[in-house]
Amino acid sequence: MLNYTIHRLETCASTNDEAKKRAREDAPAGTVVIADEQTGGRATKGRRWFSPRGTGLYVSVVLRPEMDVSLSLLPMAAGLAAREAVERTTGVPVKMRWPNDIVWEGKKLGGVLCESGLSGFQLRYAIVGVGLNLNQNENDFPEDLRPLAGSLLQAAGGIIDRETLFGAFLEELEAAVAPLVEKRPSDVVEDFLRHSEAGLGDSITVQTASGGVSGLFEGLDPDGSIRIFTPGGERRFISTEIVSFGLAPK
Amino acid sequence: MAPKIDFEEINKIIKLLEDKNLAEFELEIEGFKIKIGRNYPAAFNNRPSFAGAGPVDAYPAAGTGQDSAAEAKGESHAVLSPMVGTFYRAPSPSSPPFVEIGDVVKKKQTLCIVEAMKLMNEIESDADGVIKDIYVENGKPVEFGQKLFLIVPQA
Repeated sequence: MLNYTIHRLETCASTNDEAKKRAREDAPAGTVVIADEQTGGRATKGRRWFSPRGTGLYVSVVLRPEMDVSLSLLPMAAGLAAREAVERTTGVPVKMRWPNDIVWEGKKLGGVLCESGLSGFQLRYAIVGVGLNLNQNENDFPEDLRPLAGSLLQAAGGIIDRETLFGAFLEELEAAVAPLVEKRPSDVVEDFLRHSEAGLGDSITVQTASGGVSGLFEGLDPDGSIRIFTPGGERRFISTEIVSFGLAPK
Repeated sequence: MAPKIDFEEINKIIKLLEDKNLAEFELEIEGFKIKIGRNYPAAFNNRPSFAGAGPVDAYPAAGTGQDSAAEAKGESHAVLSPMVGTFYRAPSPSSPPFVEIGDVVKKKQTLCIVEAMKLMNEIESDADGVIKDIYVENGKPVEFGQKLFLIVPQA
């Protein structure tokens, strides 16, 4: 059972940085940082997460999982928690894009940035960060993001209450990481498949460092590897070699 | 093909060592060798022992079995990858590396990131000293237990 302690900030560079700073100073599991805006919101690989004041949910949670959880599935589990919270509070059946993005009609509404700290073989902390676009209109997004990004306001057709969604997310996060702690990682993968933007049998493209391979989506293994059927036979990609994976451009 | 052994399996072995109160475990299969020693049985389960538990001491012999004589004597220390993933020397493509050869590092200082399925794992130094060698190129895949850095005590 996680006891959440919530730290509310008007502004910060990144809620993940704030949570990480606290985690490194021994903050307990369940320490939560939520901010009205992020001036340097981060995504993976140094990319930015557009985080204007008052229109999004920017939250990071400190977790201290046991060493032997399937840690690499944490981002997927966190993404599923955000997805569930969105559907529960807005009724919009948003989808997942591998491994942890929340999408609606092909546009990205939110994403997850999970970070951990390890020393030797000891896990010191894990941070689950979530950024969700709530009440932006199309013109609120920078022009280059407009074809790619959407908000829940657009998806649900009404103003989204941040606090309701925030509370739902914290509840869903605890439920979503339970299968990892209880060593049922395949539950996470199956839940992902139920809500995946790319369905089984769809034409997908897997990008790796050495290029893209297209084929029919055959499934995900419990370790997160992807199986696709190509004209040359079945191909399996282990999660660590996948740069991205999604519906092939039509 | 290298046998598949992951973080979870290693942890099972470590737990087995604790359960059976064994001091050492060695496994060699198809060219893969792992040796785990145990000095401080309690360290592993003391969670969240953020400041105190010393993984360096807790896993003195963890490695690929190829450690140099100098490392065996404790004169230098190899930082190993705790998981399969992709090795990054900097927090983002446009940032400077966390560390360079010759840098003085302290325990808990971030040395690199190993990414697995979008989980960014910051690997902290588990020793004080000077970076003597960096074994892996930025952006390359790493295996469980693979050597990433060599740290020697500061003269």
